[in-house]
Amino acid sequence: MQAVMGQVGFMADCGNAVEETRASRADSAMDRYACGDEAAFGDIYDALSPRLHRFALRWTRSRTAAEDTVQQTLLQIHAARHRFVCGSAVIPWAYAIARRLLIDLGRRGMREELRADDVRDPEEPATAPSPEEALHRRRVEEEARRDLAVLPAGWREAFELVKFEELSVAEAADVLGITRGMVKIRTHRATAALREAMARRLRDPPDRTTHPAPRPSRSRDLSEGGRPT
Amino acid sequence: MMPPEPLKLRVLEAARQRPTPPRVDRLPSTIALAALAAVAMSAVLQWGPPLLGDAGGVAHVAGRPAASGAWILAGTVALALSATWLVLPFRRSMLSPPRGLLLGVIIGVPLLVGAWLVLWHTTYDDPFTRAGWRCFALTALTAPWPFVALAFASRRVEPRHPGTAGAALGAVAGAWAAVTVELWCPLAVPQHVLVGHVLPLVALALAGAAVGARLFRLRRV
Repeated sequence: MQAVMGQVGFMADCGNAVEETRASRADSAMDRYACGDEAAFGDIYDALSPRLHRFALRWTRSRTAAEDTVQQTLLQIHAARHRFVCGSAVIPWAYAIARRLLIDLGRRGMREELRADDVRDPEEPATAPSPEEALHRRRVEEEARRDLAVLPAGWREAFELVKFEELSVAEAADVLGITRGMVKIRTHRATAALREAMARRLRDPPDRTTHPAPRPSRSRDLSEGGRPT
Repeated sequence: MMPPEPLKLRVLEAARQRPTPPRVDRLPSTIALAALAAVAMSAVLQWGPPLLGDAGGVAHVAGRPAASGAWILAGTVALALSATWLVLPFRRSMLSPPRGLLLGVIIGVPLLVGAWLVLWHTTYDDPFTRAGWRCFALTALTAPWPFVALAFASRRVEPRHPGTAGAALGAVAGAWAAVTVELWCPLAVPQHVLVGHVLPLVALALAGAAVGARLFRLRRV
């Protein structure tokens, strides 16, 4: 869990410069495309598709649905080409479209089926770990995912956009259609809730045999700072 | 995980098969549509009331003191301008303002229009008494024209909250309709204001929500 949270922190700290370049590349490509440069659509695809694909894959956990979402989002952008406002930020707009498409997908009752489709997490490293590590990592990820899933939808969405998708607070506010202050509050609450869940689990680990180095079980009284009785 | 290469070919091919024109300057069309809406609203003001069995035109408002009338009109125009500025995406963005702001406009416009009128009720005696259904009907006849102009001026696709965006446009259209109706109606008694001036704005916001949910929603390409 600490590794996952550490990775989240690292992503949030280091990704900004790269993301800014990508955002400006997408914006300039969209400007060129709106002005009639047909070839610029390929650049828009290159700038947006990896992020949208990762976003949709995390949401649906289905390759087919993620690819469909990427395709639909880019076609929506293509269809709105003649209405594009010069100087607008493309990335929040694209995320807002993708999010709506994914919500509609969920409303059609497909989300649960899609979630059952076992797809590797987009952040998972490609190198093969040892079986014990893999098992431990999978369990930690399952727990983290469960913690994230039980958060209120508004908190979860803000947290995912800011921490996983590395959008700025302003961009996340645009995507969600709420104020920047609200994004900050929701992200903070989600982070606090996840931290609390993680701390609770570390204090009181479930009794499982899959952990590579099982820790001795401690009584609840002791784990909560009380004296053993 | 990167998207597969065939997806790029598929997307580019799909875009090629559905060509869209490059960007056009929408400002002249928007101004023309706004001017048309103003003409249509004036026509409704002139010829609408006779359909409801009353005299049309601004002469109908003669029973109200000119100073009170001017203040009422100025306040309503200021409200309509502010609401338009808040709702239309004047900033460089393809997305409409936050939902909270739109909800503020939806709730604020009817309340402020009503409160502003009632505030001036104390400054003069109403020349006659009416329930307010004529004003309701006149507002309903006047509002669709600015709504069309506003819907055109907005981006027409709102992926996040199309219903709320439509309701906000309905409220703003209602604010402009209220300006027109203030040119005709001299009454400011609270019961009349509630039925004839506040209720239609609420109805317009609801109608705008229904229209917006269909008009601005994302459609699969």
